[in-house]
Amino acid sequence: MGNALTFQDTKENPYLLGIRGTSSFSELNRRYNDGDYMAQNYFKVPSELSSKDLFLIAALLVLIVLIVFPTLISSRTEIKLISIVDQIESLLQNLSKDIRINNINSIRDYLIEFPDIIDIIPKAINSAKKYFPNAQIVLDLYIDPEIDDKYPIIYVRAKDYDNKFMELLDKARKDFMEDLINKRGWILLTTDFGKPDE
Amino acid sequence: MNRKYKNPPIVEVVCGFKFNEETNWDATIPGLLHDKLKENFPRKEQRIIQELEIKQEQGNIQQYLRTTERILFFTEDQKMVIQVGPRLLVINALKPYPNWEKYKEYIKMGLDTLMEITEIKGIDNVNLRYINSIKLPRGEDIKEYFRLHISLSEKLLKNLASFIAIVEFSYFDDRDKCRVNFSFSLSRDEYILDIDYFLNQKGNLSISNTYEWLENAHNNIEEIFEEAITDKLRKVFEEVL
Repeated sequence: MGNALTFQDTKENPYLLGIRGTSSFSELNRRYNDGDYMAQNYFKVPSELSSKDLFLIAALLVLIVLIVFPTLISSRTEIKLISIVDQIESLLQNLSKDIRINNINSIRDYLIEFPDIIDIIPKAINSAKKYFPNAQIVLDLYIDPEIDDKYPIIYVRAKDYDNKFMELLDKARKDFMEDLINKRGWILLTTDFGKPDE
Repeated sequence: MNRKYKNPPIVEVVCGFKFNEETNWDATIPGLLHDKLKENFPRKEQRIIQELEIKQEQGNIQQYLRTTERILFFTEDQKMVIQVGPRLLVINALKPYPNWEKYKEYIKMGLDTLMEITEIKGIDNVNLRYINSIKLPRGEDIKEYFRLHISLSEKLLKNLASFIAIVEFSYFDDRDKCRVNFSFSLSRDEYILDIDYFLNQKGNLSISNTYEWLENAHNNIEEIFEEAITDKLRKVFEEVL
């Protein structure tokens, strides 16, 4: 067994948990910090363990794998986000934390085709959030059924649509419309007068 | 390329150069570079990018998050992009990927033109990366399409939501490495075969050997790609004979 972590299940030791080069977790931690995770001994965990103990051990193992694994993969100084695909992924991941995204795969495809609006989308969403802080923001891809046209569309869904709603929507649009000049891609901020999701 | 496909799975190809600290760099370089490249890259825009730099120092992994300005030059159809940042040059090709010979011309155009503007004293890092997206009909056995795959029992496969498998290969006495990231996600309903060939030993590449390095990188990526797929998948890509 050549890896840093091993797991064995035998009759004698039902929970023989092997971490090479360690005799305790603190030892493991010390050795890990010293860059040594390839030694050859096993660390035994008592066989009478409660489910809580097992859960804690499992959680610790996951943590160790997360820490150790990147070092087993070769180390290098790498600069992230030089790929357009990665930039799109990063954007969608960040957006999905606080807005709803429908048809995410189609939006991803659109942005690969029109990468010049990648950084306008967060700007438009921020603008929508600025004018409608309590509304739900939904990003979707609009596909025109009659002509061959599609573009990302941002819907503002408010609890109440009062008289000032459209006026504020116009103001929000103005914040980013100039950025769309000379772009091949397009984006629209509007509303479908829907209610926010619960 | 030995094999050609009518529907290649390539979504993006990236070639990135990180030049060493001794290379003179100032804020005028992106503008000067665009002046020389604007015939092919007429569109220019500026972006703020958050870069995550991962370094291994004395056995510990250090991550540095910094915000940098990046200037992007686009061809008219936006299928080819050059990104310029502090001591950074990146040439991206988005789908449809032309072919290696054509893409190499753009890499050469970017790097040679930059060398006319500033003296590059050394290359810290360089990589060539092919990102492939492969969509298969639901429920297909991946072993029939990929020779690089994970093995799961029928029972586990039934509830599979996603997987990521990372494999690394070493070349030229560990000077270069190639990291293959093979992943699947049910929500995206596609397999990603991400093949990233990079200089593993910082600075161990002279400027004069750069194009030879790229050629080797491309050959090794191509070999890995072809070894990772089966003839059945080649049929999906519609190989041009």
